[in-house]
Amino acid sequence: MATISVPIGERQTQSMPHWTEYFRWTVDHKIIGVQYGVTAFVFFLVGGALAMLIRWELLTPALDTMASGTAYNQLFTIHGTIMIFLFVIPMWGAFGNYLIPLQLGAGDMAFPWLNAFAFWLIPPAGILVIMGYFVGQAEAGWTAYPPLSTLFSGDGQTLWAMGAHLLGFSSILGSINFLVTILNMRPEGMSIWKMPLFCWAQMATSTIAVMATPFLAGALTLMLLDRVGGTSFFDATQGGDVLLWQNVFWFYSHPAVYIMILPGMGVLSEVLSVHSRKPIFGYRMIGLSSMAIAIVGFFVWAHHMFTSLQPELRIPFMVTTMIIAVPTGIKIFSWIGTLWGGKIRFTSAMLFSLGFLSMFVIGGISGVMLAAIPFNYQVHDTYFVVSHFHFVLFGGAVFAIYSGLYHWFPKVTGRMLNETLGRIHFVLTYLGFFFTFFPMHMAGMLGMPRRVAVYAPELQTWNVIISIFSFILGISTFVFVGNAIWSVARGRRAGANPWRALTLEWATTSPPPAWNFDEPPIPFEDPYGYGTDAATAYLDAIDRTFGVPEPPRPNITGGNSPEALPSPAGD
Amino acid sequence: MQYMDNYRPLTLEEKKKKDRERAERDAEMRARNNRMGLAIFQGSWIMAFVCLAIVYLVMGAVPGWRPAEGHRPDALLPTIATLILLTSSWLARSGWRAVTRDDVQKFLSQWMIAIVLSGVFVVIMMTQFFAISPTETDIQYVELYRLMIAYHAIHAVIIGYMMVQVWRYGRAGHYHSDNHWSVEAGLKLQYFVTAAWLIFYAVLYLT
Ligand code: HEM
Ligand SMILES: [Cu+2]
Repeated sequence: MATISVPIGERQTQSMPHWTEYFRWTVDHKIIGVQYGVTAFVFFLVGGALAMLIRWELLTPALDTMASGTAYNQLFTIHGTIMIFLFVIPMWGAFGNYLIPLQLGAGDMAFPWLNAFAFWLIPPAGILVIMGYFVGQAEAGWTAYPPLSTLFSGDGQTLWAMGAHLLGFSSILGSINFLVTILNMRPEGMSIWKMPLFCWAQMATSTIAVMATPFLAGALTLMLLDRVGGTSFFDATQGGDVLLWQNVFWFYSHPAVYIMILPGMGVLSEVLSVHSRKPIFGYRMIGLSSMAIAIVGFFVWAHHMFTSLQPELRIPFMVTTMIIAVPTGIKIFSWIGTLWGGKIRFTSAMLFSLGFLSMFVIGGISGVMLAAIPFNYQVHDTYFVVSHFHFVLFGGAVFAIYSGLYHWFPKVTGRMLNETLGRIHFVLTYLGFFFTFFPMHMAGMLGMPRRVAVYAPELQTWNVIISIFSFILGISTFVFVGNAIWSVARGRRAGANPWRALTLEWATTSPPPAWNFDEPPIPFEDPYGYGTDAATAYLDAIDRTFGVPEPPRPNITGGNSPEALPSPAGD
Repeated sequence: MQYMDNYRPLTLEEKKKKDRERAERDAEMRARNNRMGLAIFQGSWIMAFVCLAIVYLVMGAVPGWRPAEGHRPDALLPTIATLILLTSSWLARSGWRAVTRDDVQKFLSQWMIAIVLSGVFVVIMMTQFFAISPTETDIQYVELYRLMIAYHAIHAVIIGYMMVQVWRYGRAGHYHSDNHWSVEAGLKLQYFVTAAWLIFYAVLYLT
């Protein structure tokens, strides 16, 4: 693969580790990061294929593609489970692993061995979940409500619960590692208030994960015992309580939706500032609002159960749920403030971040609508909810993941992704996404229930539109996959710091050497202090030390648009 | 960026000195990492116990869920077991302090008694597991009661096994005032077992 002989700058660029390294047990956080990322992306492709099947089934109001309602239940159950537990959460593990030590200026994570262990729990867990196919797949949705999950679902549900247990444990171990690394391994000069906002976001995320995930473990223990131990905690006919599961599960899973979005918000803070050449607006507020979200997120869980909750608890949960929109709003305004008056460069990374900004807001607004109890009664368990969480999870988390991939791919591989393909990818994804999920609001308000394969014939027009655009969305993924494969081998060489960014991961070669920095790096006084002479001098020093990006090769990489050029010195 | 502008290869002497310093710093950092990591793990995993305790309280709030007076498990033996567990933790602590003073003999004996007491605790609680049997009306109660005892016992046994390992390493002469992290970790895990049990004890026998 990429071996390099030409020194550009004083030090040679590194080549990526031999590909076999990625299939072995290793404790290098960068390799583990890539292992997380590729594994998660493979699961993304699998989950995406299942989504295509769901949409194929929903092209018509009758049950046709799927053999039975049960088969359809299994389909969306595994789709949701894979996307949440095996794609989004591990994907943030990938970014966290790769970037946290680099951004802090540390040589590795606090517990390299534990780090590898946490990763290697994921493939077996994924296999457990998928193997359920052979013994009667789980069919109770990603939320696994009893009694469906305890009294009806096949043995696959047991494997599902075991897989989820492993994934939860992996997530706890990974988060302990992140927290200790962030709190303890910052070198001199990297105070907590100088830390990149991505690290702040991961700190908040990990705090949530270590506090909340044990509740998932508790709930899964009860479920497993009900399934195989002869107990009846969730069996109402034996005096058990089905709402017990909902309470404990959501006490974990609402915080978990922030596990899925906070790191994405961290990515946005990096990308928006770098690609608009402006200091981040409201650094402290962004950092602290992550923490606020992490805390308030523990007091809103019952908004998923408004229709079954004791009446006197509804209003309090409505209030807390609406309150949580405030720190989210703080971030949105801070990002807009960052962009305001900036020298915006519409790189693919930037486009996806802007896509996040516009789409996530829609998801936030529909969230506040759902928090209003009278409205919730009408649309609970309809496609309106499906639309809401796809706007925050796809329009939010997935857009942020793509943005981060375009932004940091050069660091990981030493080569740039192709910007032209990046734009095609963005346009297809953005349009495909919007027209897949926005009409779901309408279908939901017209009364289309979620998780059912048959629907009223008058809803078919909406569903055909949705399905067609979902296929476009599905295809758009392959533009990215193709781009990534081509660029790893042939992409333009990135140099150390192609975006001229000030955070420390760029102050070393791409990819970085085994211990990240040959000498302890000196952080710039402000990780987002773009636009000053001092910043320019610092960036020039990095260029002199580690080399500049290869100039674009027009026609081959299509990278000759001004935005794809290395940023002109002086900003 | 000073270092980047004045970049030059280091001399051998400089390099050796640097490596030494770095090794010292790394060792210090590792020690701090270990302590913090264990503390976070404890804070995190105790939540699984808090979760079950809350489940118990929530279900227990339903009238008629708990067994009628007279059918409740007797608190006497569990209370004795709890005191034994507390003693075990306390002895483990004094064993650890002995190691930090290089008094390995005292460490070995205290630590051994701590392990045995912890074992006694588990045995007593297992008798409690079997002592109650469900009637028509309190199946749920008995199931949860047994689950909590067993869930805790699993942790007590695994951590007890770790303590045995520590003891064996100690006998082989691994620990002294400069190297006692494993002992400290074992002790803190034993604290964890104790704290987790106190939570369960409080909800099972005091509410
Ligand atoms: C402004 C902030 C938000 C508010 C006020 C909010 C509110 C809500 C409410 C009330 C529901 C329940 C709908 C129902 O089932 O009747 C819901 C569902 C959901 N939300 Fe949000 N939400 C917000 C942000 C988010 C974010 C950031 C995520 C994820 C990244 C998210 C993910 C979800 C998911 C996955 C569900 C559906 C769970 C299911 O039943 O399968 N939400 N949201
Ligand atoms: Cu929620």
